[in-house]
Amino acid sequence: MVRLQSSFRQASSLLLAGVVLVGCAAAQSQRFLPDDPIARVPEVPMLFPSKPQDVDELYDFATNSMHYKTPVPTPSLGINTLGEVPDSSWFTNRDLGHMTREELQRGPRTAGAPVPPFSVVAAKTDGVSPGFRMLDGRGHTFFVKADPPSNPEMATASDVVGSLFFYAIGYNVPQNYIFVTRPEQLQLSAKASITEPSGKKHPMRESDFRKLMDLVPKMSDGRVRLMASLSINGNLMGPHLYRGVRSDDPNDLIPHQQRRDLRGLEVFAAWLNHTDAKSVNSMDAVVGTDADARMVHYLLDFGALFGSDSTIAKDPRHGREFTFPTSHAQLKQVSTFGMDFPDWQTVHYPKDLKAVGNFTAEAFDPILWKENYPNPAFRAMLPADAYWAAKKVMTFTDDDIRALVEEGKFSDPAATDYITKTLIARRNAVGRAWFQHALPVEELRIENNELHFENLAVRYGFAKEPSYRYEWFSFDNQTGGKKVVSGSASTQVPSELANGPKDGYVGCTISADGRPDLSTTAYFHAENGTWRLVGIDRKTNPPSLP
Amino acid sequence: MSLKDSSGGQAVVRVDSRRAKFLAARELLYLLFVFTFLVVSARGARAQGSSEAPDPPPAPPLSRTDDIAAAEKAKAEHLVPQAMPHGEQVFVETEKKAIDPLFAPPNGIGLTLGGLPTGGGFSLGPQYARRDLLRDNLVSDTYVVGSTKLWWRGQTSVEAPSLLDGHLSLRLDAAYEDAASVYFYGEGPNSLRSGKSNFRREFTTPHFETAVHLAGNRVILGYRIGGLLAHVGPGRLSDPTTTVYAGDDVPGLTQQSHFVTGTGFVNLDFRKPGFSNPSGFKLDAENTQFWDKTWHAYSFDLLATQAEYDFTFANGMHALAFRARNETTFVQGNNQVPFYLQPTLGNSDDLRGYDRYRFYGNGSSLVTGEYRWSVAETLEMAIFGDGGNIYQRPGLIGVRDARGDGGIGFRFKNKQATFMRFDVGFSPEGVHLWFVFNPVFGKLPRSF
Repeated sequence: MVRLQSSFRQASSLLLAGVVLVGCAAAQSQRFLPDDPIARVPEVPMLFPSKPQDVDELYDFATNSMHYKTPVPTPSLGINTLGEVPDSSWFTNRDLGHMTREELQRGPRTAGAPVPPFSVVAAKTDGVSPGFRMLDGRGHTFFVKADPPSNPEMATASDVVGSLFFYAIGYNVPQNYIFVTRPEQLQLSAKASITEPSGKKHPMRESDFRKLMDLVPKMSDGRVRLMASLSINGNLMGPHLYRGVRSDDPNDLIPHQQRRDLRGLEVFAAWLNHTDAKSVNSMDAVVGTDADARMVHYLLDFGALFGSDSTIAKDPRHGREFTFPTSHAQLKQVSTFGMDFPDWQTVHYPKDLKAVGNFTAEAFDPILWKENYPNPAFRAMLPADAYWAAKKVMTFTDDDIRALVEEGKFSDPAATDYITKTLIARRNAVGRAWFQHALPVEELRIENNELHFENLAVRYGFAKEPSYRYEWFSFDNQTGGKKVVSGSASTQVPSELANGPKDGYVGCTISADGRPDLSTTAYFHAENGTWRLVGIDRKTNPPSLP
Repeated sequence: MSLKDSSGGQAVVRVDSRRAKFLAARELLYLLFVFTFLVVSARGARAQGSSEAPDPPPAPPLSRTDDIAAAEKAKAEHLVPQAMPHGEQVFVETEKKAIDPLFAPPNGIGLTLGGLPTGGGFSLGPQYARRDLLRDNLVSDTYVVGSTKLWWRGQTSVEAPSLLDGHLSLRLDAAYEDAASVYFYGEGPNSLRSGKSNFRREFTTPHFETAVHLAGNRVILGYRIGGLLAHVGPGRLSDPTTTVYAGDDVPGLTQQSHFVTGTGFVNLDFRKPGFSNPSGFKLDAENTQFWDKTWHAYSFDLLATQAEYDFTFANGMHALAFRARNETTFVQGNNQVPFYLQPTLGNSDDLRGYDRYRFYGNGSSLVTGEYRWSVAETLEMAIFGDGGNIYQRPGLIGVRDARGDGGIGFRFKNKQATFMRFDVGFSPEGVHLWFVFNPVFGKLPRSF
């Protein structure tokens, strides 16, 4: 959720001034460089012999819980001159609109589900959620998790479907599979070990493993349904934080809390109810060797999406309140002796669909949504970041969503239907909410000296086509100076601009009647008789919050 | 860290309750730990923030790609291993070297908090616990705690909490407890507040308990056999009971006994877990026979029952919770119930608007209602009302001489478990504040 203060205005003007750099702070004389907008961030080899560094979960919780207020707005970085996130070791634009159903459902999964024989090599038990590590018949290592007995299929589906959604959006995720097997097919390795609740590790006996498997819900035919996550390829370097940069990665130049792909992750998390988006649920790995070596940044652990909280159904508070009480709504709960019932306390959950858990689109407000405890990048999100993410959310068609949810392999089609329907409703809520805080015009182009664009709010049925105002100007790429062409109030490129220098720049600021607070400015470069879009600035307006 | 139930030192400990206590205790200490580290962590956050992007390269770029690549190459010249911020390092080291070994030791020597009966004050002491015996199937726990009020207790126990696939538990324990100043106001419902006195109560108790766990621990049946060596004397505060009251008026004041005890118990728990409170019905009942082996004058039976019903609404964020409890003693012939084993009312979990141990009698009845609402995952509030009476014989059960109170409470929670509670009770006898580490509807009270 964005919490924006009056100082946002300052940041907004900075953005409009063109501080939409990819991240390196090189002193520029030119606003647009010849290769703008870049589609991919160049990356140098990761040759530094670094070592893994873990993150203390409690410390992360404590320090971030202290910073629940919105920070002073800072510009969004990690974007090209169009405001888009270029491909990098963090994010890959997957061209969702052209992905086939099979590609969507396959996602990152190239290895295939585990194949027998299965050899269990290590396990842990905390008495609630059993998990173990196993080798399959090909020697691949998988981390295996199970559903809670109270909600069969819930957490395993969440882990698989969630990873596919985040992959389709553009993030790096592990290969997660649902696999069903007979318990006796899981054989203990001679070197298998188990870590008991006391913390003591010792060789695992068959009885230990059977005890572990007793906690796994059984299907009617005695088989068990598990989620197997293929070990990430490469040298694991530990989680990434949602603030600062890694000191051992040459390509990590942008403070994470300013990366648009990490700020915008908040919108995806809200859509999918990924309340557990935190550092500990990420992993950086050095992939490749020599000149190809790169630090790749992964998101992990999607067991707490939708209505799942991994080991139980989702707490209704999750997504609306932080774990530590910090909101006015919570203060109101104290002062009214609990007689104020927030809307999330009265929503309905599908009680008869245990595999769904507590998931609904009722009372879902993408702007008020919260992760379990403050994530620095999420707190720093600006409307422009949210707009970028909302655009991506809206590119998922109903069929795309259904195709991905089907990979949860629910035994009851009603669970698939419910989650699909809910995600569609939440998707629309995301678009409807964030398209009000930016002028959502896209596909900007000049053809035959006429400006063309499409309003996404209109495309998706959230608004009627408004009347627009246009202000054309010539743009000096060296100085950043603008010279407004008077009397140019249509989509036609004014003749004095159309007949200007052969490699000149022009721009047009579009605003909608009735929303003077929002505008989109497009910059075009004349190249070989055509106009190429090289930049977009968006004047946004923050939502007002209770 | 371990945290003992302050309402009774020898509560039946099973797998779940042991873990819950263990985790709750960790939660509490971590909470303190976390707040201690607020300043340090803020510094750490700044330290993390300081590892920002390096200075830009000086040469003007030819392209955006060159520009970025130049910055990356410049950074590549100055890479250092990723390190924890200073604040986090201190936090982790302190946790690893000081907090965990002392307060959350998986095995070995540590510290324990609590463990004394109510009224004992803040208590702390060394503990030696092993949870890893027989591959985590046997737990041994030995501790000694002393309090600010000079009460103390030592206990050793060994327990197999989950035999036969969790269907059987065995426990053997022995304890010595010195409650240096337990209040006594006289017997009966009309005892006067001005009759306040205090006595010293020393209990030495060995127990052996076996229990059968059925239906996924929803049904527990068990029997506990043991002994009680009781000694009562003047309390360490002014107005000792032995001076204020005559021995003839208070059974057991001048004659102490050694008892053999046998307790049969049943626990039925049909509640469903919820997000802040469980919902459903719970019933605990136990009958303890005390055989006086010294004077043969103080043998009696104590039948204690407690029923709890919780109703949740608003997606589990609000709850109405009701509890009814009765303790009745039965004597044969001329036997009497010694005052130091009589049911009492006035405590952090019964009549919260009255002094601790305000009423003594041969029986007690109690009803409690609470309206609870969740403020946050970690905080719940409650408005409560308590009503109860003390009676000298079963025929006097009723509302006659009943006492009532009301109040408000703040509960600090870890999921469903309350690990810390601050209740304020109001009654005609004044305002009472309770800061305790146990749930209000806990186990049946047991003083021995």
